[in-house]
Amino acid sequence: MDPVLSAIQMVINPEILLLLLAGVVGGIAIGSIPGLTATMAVAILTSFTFGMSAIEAIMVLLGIYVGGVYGGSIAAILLHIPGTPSAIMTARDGYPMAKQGLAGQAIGISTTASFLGGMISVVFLVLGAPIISRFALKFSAPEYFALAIFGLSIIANVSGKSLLKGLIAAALGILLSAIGMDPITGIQRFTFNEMNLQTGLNFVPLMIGLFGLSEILQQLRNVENHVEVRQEIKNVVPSFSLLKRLSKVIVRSSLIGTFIGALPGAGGTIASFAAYNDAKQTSQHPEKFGEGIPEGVAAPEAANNATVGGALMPLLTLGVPGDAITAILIGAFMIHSLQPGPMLFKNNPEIIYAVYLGTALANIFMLIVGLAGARLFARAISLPNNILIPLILLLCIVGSYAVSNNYFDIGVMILFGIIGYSLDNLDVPMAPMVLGIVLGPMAETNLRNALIMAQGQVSVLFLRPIAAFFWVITIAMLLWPKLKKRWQARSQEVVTEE
Amino acid sequence: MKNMPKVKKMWVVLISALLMLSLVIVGCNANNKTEQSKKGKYPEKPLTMVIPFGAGGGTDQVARMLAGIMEKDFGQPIICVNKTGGAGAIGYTETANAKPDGYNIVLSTSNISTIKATGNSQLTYQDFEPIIAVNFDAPALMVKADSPYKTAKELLDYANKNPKKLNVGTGTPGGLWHVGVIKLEKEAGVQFNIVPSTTGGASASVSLLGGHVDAIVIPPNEAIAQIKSGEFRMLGTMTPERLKDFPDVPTFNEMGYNVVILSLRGYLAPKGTPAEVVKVLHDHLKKAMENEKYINYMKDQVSNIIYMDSAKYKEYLAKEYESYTKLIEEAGLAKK
Amino acid sequence: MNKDRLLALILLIVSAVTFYETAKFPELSNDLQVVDAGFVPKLLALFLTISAGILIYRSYRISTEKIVISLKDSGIIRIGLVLIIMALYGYFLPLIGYELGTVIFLGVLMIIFRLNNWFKIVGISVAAMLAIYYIFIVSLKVPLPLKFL
Repeated sequence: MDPVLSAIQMVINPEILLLLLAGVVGGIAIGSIPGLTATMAVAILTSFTFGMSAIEAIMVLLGIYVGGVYGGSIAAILLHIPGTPSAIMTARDGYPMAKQGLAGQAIGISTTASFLGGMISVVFLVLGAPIISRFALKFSAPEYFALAIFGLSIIANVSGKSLLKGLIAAALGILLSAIGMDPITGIQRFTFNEMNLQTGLNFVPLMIGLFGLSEILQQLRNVENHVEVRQEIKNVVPSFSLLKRLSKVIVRSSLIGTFIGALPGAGGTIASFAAYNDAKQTSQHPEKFGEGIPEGVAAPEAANNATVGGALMPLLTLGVPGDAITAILIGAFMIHSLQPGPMLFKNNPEIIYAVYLGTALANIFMLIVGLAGARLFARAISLPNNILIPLILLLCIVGSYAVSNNYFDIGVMILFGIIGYSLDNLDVPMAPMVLGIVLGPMAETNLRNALIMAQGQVSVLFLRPIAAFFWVITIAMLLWPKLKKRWQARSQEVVTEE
Repeated sequence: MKNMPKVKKMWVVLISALLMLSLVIVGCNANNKTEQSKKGKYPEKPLTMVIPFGAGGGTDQVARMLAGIMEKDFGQPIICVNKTGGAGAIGYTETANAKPDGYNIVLSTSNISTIKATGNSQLTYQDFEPIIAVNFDAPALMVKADSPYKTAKELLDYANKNPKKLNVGTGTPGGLWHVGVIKLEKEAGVQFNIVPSTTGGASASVSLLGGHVDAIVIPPNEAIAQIKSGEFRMLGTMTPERLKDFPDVPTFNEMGYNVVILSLRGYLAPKGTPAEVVKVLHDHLKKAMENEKYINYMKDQVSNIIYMDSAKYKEYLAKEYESYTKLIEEAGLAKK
Repeated sequence: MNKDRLLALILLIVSAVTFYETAKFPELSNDLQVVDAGFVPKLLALFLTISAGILIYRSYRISTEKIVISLKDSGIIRIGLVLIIMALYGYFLPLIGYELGTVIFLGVLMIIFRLNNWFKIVGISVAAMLAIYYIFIVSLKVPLPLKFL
């Protein structure tokens, strides 16, 4: 029988659809809880799928994957706590929107953008997976180093008032990420004889502290002049005119997300940073980013959900993982005697089509569940502060512990809450610091690996074509705002002369 | 200040409410306990299985699979807990410090024999009661199908004439696969340009696929897709005997190089766990190992089942500790 | 104290610690040292030292806001109190167990935040404790220390 038909038969059946829906709902719930990431959800639930058939297991896990990546945006918007690392940029504009009483709208935008990003990436997955994943293989240490530097150049755009302080924050972030076993030589760096620091600071508690707890501390400080925000929860579905305005941003971000997702050495976090930056660069009102502009929510969300389709490309075509979650998915396939990779296309093509179909359906379910739930979520933060804050603090603690079941992480979270609060009061911006933490290790290890490969020849970093391309666009991006200003000034002169 | 009395009153109410609540809960719990102790036999509460590595990895999958199978007969829930960090040291420490009552076990890898030498921890196998060994993986030297090297000898000959010209990828720096490459260099008297990959063996296979390195040394199960599809060619394995699934691939041992590297997984309980409890755990785990699901999984993964009982496993660990400590010192990876 | 000068002081301490620690990194005999483990941290520490210099220089030319830390500030006291309660909760969690610890933690915080309805305090604390129990412990098998449930 035709594999496409048999895939449709396999997936379109009430039981499978219900499992997929359950996966999506579960994924959203887990993703939205600070500390619980989509990666953990997929890993833990993989063992529950032992007893299922292969197709059932794959559908549940795909649902959790799609739902979990999206779910991270909810806590980011409502509480300024990114539920998953890839939602950090969503908090930047989503939280200000919630503070203005537009939490429902922000979730609506993030849901719609996530849906469109996911769907666009599925289209690329179906049409271009073999080509894109073969291209992604061309990336090696020098290319990843250049990509990391390109990512770090975003600092210039998220530093706020002072570029110097942005750079300081990034440098501090990279230093923090260096704590633990050195990835190249294995020696201990900055561990101060503490065993818990040997593998470095856990990213999730650190992030909960820097963003979530520090924000609450800020609120506690100014409790006297607190104004109750009334949440406007009627129009959570974005209007057609708004969607039209966002369409360009969403498409561009989805392309960025799909491609970065397909790279085995980069993931949703970097994709969302790059997409946010791109949206700001190309916007008519870059100054409004960070104050609650819909584009600032749509760009990172479209990008991070687009990484799902991207990450599935190397999984299905080559049998190598595109990110941490697909690495676990490979294991789940194996448990059911399916070998992802070139052989799967030969032996079980219907499974490939079932994955395409399942991912698309999971995105549709996510859209429905997300829009239906947006009002409910928005209402949750309408609780009075003297109830809401204790509950958030409890979630911060339990979530930090749950990351690796270690009390040490609770301490890390509290410490970084204090650090975040202090730096905030010294006007040091948080976003560049997180960029440093995420991209620092990528830049450092790939720089050193590239030099090991080339036996110390520095030219390898710049002369390979893809690396060179990233260096060129990095420089162009840094110069672009200045050129734009000069060009605008000149054209204005022309206008006034007339 | 007006609020003060109110607050005080609330405290009284709150505390008394809490006390009442806890009494009720304790009461319920006490009932449970008497019910359970009637049975008076191990196991009478959930078993905690510590996984010293991250969720989704190879060790994690083996542990969760065995736990899933074993839970059906064990009579008590089995809780898998990932305690990651320090090349496994954190998970080992957790179990070593747990009560030796048979309700805490850890799925160990051969890291237990290296963490002391690499300076991650002071723990060795002597701090545990070995229960059972369940599987092993061993690295192999592989090249791409279109590589000019058809045999390990050809590759080593080239490396011999061109020191530091061949880029050889491997797993995490200081890990066993890395140690294997260094050992091969020493035994064959050649010099590679070793490129470890920070995120493990799977990303080394991505580098080979992309043509960024000339060869890799990782266990076959981290590159199965490529081996099965014929994109990678195995030139030699670091096992004591040829792999069942690949009878044509010679071992380095038979080529005359003394390179045998195994990563053995097995279960350990805290020191002092009673022998009869260890026996119960051993029997349950052995039964789980014989389950078809486990056997098939290992076969699909091109991994290897190995069974050692408690005594044999302990003997093996003693030898392994000695030889790996020496290996790591030879490889120049030992700390202080 | 002047904000930028305080930041500069912190940066100087951070870079001093970094330089001190990198000096202790062992020399390794293997080939993985084209760029050694201390290279990037030292580079960053150097950058932080220079930045601190610029901040101090700037602080004499452009006046920046001053930061005042006073124990009379009720906001600071509230923050300190909340942080201490969080730390205590984390510390005592393994000893008194998740159930009682959580109810007390939430109850005490709500009292500090002047929630005056004891029915709400107890009800919400217990409900939240149970909700998290079901999500984290029952469904996701997070091993929080239990004493009763």
